[in-house]
Amino acid sequence: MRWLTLYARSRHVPVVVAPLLLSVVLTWWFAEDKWTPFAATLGLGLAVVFAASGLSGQDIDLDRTAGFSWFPRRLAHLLLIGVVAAGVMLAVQEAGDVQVESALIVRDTAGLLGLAGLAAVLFGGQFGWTLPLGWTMLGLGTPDEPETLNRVFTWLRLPADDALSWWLAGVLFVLGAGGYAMAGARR
Amino acid sequence: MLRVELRRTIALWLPVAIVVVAVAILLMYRAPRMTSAVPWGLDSPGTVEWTRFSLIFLWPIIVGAAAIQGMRESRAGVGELFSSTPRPTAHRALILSLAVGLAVVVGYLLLLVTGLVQVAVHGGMFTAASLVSVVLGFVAVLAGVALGLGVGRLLPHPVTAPALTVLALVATVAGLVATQDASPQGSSVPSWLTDLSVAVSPPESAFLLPSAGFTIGQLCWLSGLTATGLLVLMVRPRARLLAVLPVVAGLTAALLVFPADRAGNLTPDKTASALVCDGPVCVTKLREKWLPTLAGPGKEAIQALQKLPQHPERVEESTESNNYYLRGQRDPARLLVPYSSTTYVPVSDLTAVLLDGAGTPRCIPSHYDSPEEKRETVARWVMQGWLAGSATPPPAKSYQQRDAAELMPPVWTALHALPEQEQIARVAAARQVELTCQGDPLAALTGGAG
Repeated sequence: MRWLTLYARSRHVPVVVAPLLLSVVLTWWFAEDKWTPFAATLGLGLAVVFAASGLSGQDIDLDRTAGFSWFPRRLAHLLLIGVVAAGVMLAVQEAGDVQVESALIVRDTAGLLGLAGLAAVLFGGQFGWTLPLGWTMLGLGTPDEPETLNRVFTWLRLPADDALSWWLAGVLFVLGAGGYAMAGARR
Repeated sequence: MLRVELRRTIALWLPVAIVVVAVAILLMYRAPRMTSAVPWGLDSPGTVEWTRFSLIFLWPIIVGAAAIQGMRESRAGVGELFSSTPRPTAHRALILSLAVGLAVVVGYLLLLVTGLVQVAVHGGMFTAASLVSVVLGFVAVLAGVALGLGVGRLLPHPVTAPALTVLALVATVAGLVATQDASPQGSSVPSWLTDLSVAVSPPESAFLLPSAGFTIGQLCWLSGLTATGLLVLMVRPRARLLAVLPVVAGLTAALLVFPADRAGNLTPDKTASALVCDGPVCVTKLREKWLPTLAGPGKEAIQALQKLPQHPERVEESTESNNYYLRGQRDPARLLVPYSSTTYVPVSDLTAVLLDGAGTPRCIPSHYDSPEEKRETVARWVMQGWLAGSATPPPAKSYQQRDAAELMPPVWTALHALPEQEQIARVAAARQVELTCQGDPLAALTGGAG
């Protein structure tokens, strides 16, 4: 129990919870009856962004001297972010009249987690938020058009039966989550 | 000193990020392509305005990156160490802000230069007035740097940078959405509030410039913000309250000079919209290179319109904004042609396009897909074919005509079965309907029979 508390504190878990909850609830609140994949992407994107801002501890070298394997712990941390973000999302939207497909939320969460892991591996733990936020911005700003490039950019808000978006989310998740679990954040 | 700082901060990555993101935005909005009425890289006003539009995403990135830099010392835990050295805080802060500011300016400059070199290659027009928007763009990015550095210094926390980026993004997007609110009563957000935003709408007209009041107001507000950000970074914690003064002063000045409503934010650009003529065919100075293309078809269209008793004497480029939801300006004496409506039309079809609706703009906005829109399309199409003197119904060229094709042949046959005087009277009546937007042009063509 003591280890878990220390781990959570070093990963800024306590401070991250409030912005995570706020971003989902506020987005849902503002969207009201316009609760579409667009709004859902924004809320989920922001939730992952905040949760992913603590993907490394104070001292990576010290971490690595630990007498246990980091692989399952890092993976669990990342997956927990996803479970919480998607869970809050699914719970909050139940209160409204319109719901976004659960499959879409699961897919987006997986892809965003991958991006967070990727950013942590490439730039460092404190930059885990950069790629999820970047792609959310890109996805929301790109006009809706059937061209492949537009679809790649906007995969976060494509319908849940779109094969391309699932492939992208899957590849990002495997690369990002796998990379982060194995290698950890960049020094 | 500066070189060391550039190497040990993320400053060198910033221009790369700026250029990559901006290019993605421009491509996504088709700004560099000919489909846009105000393209990027064909003339200086359009290029500068598109570059400023890209700030909607660039500005949050800049603010976030600066915040990461601003909290470097406290995150590394060297604040106490540095405060014990004789070198003043202001000196360190100055070099840091110089490095980040320089990187951002270089990134924005790279974008502008890429666009303006293309303008030069295409032989497009440069207007001195577009410099105003260049200056506004630079002031905006510098304010972003100062804001990020200052907040990063004040609140060194891992969540600060993402939160600040998100807030900056919310501010730019909300500012843009509020200014684009197309409801007739105007936006519910007061214009002074959106005037504070660095985000500008995608340009709809190359003939509009930021007005003096808007420009001066933005300069005051953004330079106040810059000064406050830098002061927070430089002064001792105890003097930080004083740092608020510049931003308050800038904000007050801005609120005093901002135009009363949003319409006052833009003024017509007289240099760019001055007319260059070849006989009865005139284009703006901005599109001077278009004149040889338009001159021949324009004269042919004027010639064909002579058949009608009240006919336009001139063909003129319309300087109106490219807004599909608004009814275009109409003038019985002039045939107004927007540059954007002809960009994809082959020269051989240009006369026909000018004669569409007997040289009038549409009354019913397109993208509406109602029976009225279809009836208007057919009426305009028949007028066009009749004026061109075709013996048979002309083939459908635009997507609207293809959509309405089944309605056209009976109207065509009925009109051509009439005596010539009656034909002229009916086409003239339909043209009148299109000029006033009162009545049904198809009913006018078929003699009210519907």
